[in-house]
Amino acid sequence: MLLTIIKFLALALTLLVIIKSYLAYRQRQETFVMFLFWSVTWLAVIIIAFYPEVITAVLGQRRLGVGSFLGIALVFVYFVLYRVYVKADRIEKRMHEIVRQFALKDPALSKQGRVKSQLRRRTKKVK
Amino acid sequence: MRLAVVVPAHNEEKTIGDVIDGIPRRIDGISTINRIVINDASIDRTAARAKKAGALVLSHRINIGQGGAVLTGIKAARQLGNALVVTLDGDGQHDPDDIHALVDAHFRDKADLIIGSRFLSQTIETMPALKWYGNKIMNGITFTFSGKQVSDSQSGFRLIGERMLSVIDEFNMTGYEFCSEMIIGAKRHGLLISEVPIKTIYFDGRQGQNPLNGLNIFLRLFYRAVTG
Repeated sequence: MLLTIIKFLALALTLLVIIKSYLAYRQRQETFVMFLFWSVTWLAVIIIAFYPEVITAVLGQRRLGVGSFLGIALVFVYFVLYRVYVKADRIEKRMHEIVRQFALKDPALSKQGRVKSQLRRRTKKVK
Repeated sequence: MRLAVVVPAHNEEKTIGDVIDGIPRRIDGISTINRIVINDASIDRTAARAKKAGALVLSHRINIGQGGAVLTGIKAARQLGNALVVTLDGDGQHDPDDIHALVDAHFRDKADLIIGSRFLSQTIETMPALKWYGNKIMNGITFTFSGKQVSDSQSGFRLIGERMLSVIDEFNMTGYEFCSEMIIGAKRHGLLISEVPIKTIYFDGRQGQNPLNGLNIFLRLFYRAVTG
């Protein structure tokens, strides 16, 4: 039962990713190489989900079992997640700073600043 | 002494005019009051309404969140030479008349960050239960990272003094976590934090903060604490 759910999930996610990647490629938001990369990667996920014995066949029973392979994969996924999070955070901060700089360059702000400083100078002269 | 009132606003066309109109024209000890609205990429007539009410309106081209809008407003206020900044929400949940209480407290206590606390006021009874518990959890999270116990860590109604303004460039969080970040930063710099009671007006259709947003804020504060 559990294996069937895993297979179904893997199939659904693979279809989703490949369709989204293909649409992005069609809309020129993604290169063909990227589309190919995601397709191959997710097809590999499907193969492992449906035929887990492939891992043993490729890597050998004694050298690396299915459990160890999944453990290493999990560590790798967490590392990728961390890298993506750090990069997204960095890009978000830069983007926010650009948005702020644009807002602060509004002529209304500099105009109000000029008027205030002129008023201050006049007040000082009167004193 | 010059004071700026900064109002972050995202799609607040129904309330922004009244909020700006409600800002006191005269406050004891204050020579000039600047009213600044940061229009955080609203798709309605927030900017036009605020401008009509007499505020200086600066617009973000894309929505970056309440904290980001407050930070832009504070930087604009500093650019205009203001020594004090009061921030309040644009959705009408704060009574602008309470600005008097915050300014009085600043002159009396010499605090660098004064938080308008909904929990110190009698009107707290009008706060929905889920929000009440959400705020309490956020107080706990803020205490964990700052070591400072405050009754209303998520209040957007605040007064920021000169010494706090001088370190404001260190802040860069843009969502609701900005409220906690400000308390953490003030404590780190050894600045004085105090609270005054404020009225709270709750009404149907108010957007506000999702009470379940606490986990997201906790993760962001944790990430910030780890990475510096």
